[in-house]
Amino acid sequence: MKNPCEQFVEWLETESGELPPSLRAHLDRCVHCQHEYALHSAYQKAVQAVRSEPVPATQVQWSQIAQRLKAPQARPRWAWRGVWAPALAFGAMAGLGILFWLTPRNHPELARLEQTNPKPFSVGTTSTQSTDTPLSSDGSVLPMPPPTYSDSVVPFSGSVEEPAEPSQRATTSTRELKSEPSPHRREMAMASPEGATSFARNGAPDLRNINPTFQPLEMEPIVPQGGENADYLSVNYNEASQTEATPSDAIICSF
Amino acid sequence: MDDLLGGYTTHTLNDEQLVTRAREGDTEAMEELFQRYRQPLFRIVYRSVRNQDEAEDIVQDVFLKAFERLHLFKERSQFSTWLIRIAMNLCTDRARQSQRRQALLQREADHKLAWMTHPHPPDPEEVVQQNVFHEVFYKALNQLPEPQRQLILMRDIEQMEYEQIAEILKTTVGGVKLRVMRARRALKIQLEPLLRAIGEIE
Ligand SMILES: [Zn+2]
Repeated sequence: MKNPCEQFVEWLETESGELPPSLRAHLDRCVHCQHEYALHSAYQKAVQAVRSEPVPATQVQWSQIAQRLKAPQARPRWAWRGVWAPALAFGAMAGLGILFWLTPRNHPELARLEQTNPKPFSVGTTSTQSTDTPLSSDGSVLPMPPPTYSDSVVPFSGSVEEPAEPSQRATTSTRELKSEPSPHRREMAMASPEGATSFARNGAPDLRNINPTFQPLEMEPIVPQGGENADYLSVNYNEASQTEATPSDAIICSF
Repeated sequence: MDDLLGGYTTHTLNDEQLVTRAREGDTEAMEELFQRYRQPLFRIVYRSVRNQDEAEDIVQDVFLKAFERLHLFKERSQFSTWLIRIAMNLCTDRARQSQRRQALLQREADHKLAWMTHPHPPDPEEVVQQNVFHEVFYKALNQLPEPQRQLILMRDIEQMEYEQIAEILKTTVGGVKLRVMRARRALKIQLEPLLRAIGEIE
């Protein structure tokens, strides 16, 4: 059972005709309901004022509508959805296909298969097969014995020379890979069917197998910054990403 | 305007008949529907956006959309109801798009209110009092979420029947009554300090 104040407010808000005598008697002695009544009366006055506000006559003419109905630009935007949706879907599928095709395969089985079945050596099929690759005078490639590799080490055509400063090691080899011809590089390219390919298929090459003096940098452990509530999304290092995130990205969610 | 080929004038046809003809591409039927509803529709839209140019743009868009999508119109509801529904959706879209415009209108309303509550207004008292109510009302109304704003406009300003509002909003009459009650309550909360400021309540 609602109390008289609730009943009164309900009567006000439901526009239910005459105020019943019982509620009128309550109104006479209840300050809260008197306030509600005053507010409601002022609301009604404001509503009446707005209703009586003159509205200008519209200037819209049929000719304007008819013209837009006939005009080609009057075609609704949603009409193009039928064209764009399949085109976008096709584009996305093609993009994914290309991405998949270009992405290095990291699966161990694939790597093993590629090692046991080396691709035939061909000239001029890779980006690093530059003009300094030695060829015989008739353009044929000299026969070479098949290479042997240690565990999980894949051919690498870049040369690693001892830099003057340890900090220059990485940059030196990268620079040489890209542009500078060197005798080492020629030897590497000759020594391996895969040698012409400068991108390793099984992650980064182990430089220690090429240059015993090379010392890899140690990874610093991740230290949680958000206390016990910090949660890390897994990040795989040295693994090609489908997104634009770099391998060093670590996403921290605190909540 | 007269459709002599059919032996009728479009004036004598009801909405349903006109819609049927309009669906078949009869532009005279479309024009008759336009003439019937352009001013009532403009009034609703104008009261929602309170700007003549904008209201006219919306009215044009409403008719354009209605005639282009006439095949989607279900004859369970009235054509006028359908037009209002399209208009309300377009008003909602505009409100979402133009929050800057809303802020501008609000500042304009504040300015008018300050001017009209000035101790020595130049207009006759009654006119000023009337205008003060408009501004106070819209200032409070514009604070509400768009669905509540539309309910107040439809029920309290346009005095539409609950049944028609229910049809426009595709809901039940009971649901509309409840929502209108809540919208009024919300509006009164916004109005109270403003009404007190102009001395309408203690
Ligand atoms: Zn009471």
